[in-house]
Amino acid sequence: MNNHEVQISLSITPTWTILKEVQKKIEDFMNKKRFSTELIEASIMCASELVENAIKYGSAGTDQDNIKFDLKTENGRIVIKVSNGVKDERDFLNVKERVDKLKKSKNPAELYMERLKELMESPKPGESQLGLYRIAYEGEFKLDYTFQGVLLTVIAERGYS
Amino acid sequence: MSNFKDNNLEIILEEGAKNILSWYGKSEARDPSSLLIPYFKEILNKIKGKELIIKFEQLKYMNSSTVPPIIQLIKDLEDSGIDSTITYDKNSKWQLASFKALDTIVRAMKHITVVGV
Repeated sequence: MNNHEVQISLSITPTWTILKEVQKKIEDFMNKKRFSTELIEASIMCASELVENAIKYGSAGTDQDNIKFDLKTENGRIVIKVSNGVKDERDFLNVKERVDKLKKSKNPAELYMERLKELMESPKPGESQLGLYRIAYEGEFKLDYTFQGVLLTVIAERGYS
Repeated sequence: MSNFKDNNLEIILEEGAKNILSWYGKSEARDPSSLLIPYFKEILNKIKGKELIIKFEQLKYMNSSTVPPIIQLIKDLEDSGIDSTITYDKNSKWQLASFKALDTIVRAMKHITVVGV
C-alpha cells in the first residue's frame, strides 16, 4: 500500500449505532491521507447508504449475521463493498432492479429525479428507495452487485484525481 | 414546542415577521419520517399566514430517508399557501446535488422556491 492508499475492513454487528463508527473510521483514515473533502463526503455518504440498507434488509435470520464492510483506494480508484445475508429474496431483487437500471442509464440524475417525482406525487413515510440512486448521482459511484447463496454484496466504485 | 432535537440533528424555529426554520448537524435516524412529520405538523399551524425560510446550509449530512419527510413538508406548505424559500449551501457538493434536484421538481409549485446561497 503506498502512502496515498487506504484500506478499511470491518465486520459489523447490524445495529444502527454502528453507522457513526463506520463514518468516523472513513473520515479519519481518508483525512490522514489528505483526500479531498468532496471525496471523503461522497465516500461517507456511499458507505452510510449501503450499510443502512444492509442493516435494514439483511443479516438477521441468516447464517451471515454480521455485515462485512470494505473500503479500498488503489491506483486512483476507490472501491466500497458491503456484504450481508439477505432474509427475503425480494430485497435482493429490489437492489438488483435499481442497480441494473443504473448500469443501463447514462444519466443517474434522471433516475434520482424520477424517484423524487414519485415521492412528491405519492409521499410515503418511511423508506425513500433513493439511496442507490443517490450514490450514483450525488456520489458519482458506479454500482454493481454479486449474489451467492444468501450473501448479497453491493460494490460501489469511482475514480479520483 | 418550536424546536426539534434528536441525536445529532437540531431544527430551530425562529418566529418573527418571517419565520425561519434552521437545520443543524446530521440527520441520520433510521426512520426520520416518524420523528419529523409529527414535528412539521405541529409547527405548520404556528407558521400559517407568514412567509417561511427553511435554511439547510448548516446541515452537515442527511441520509436518503430524510428526503420523504422534507417532501411531505414541501407539499404541506404548498397546499397551505405558505410562501416558502428553501436555502442551501451551493458550495457544498452534496447539498448542491440534493437541492438542485429538489429545485427541479418544485418548479411548478406556486409557493415554494429553492435557492443556493
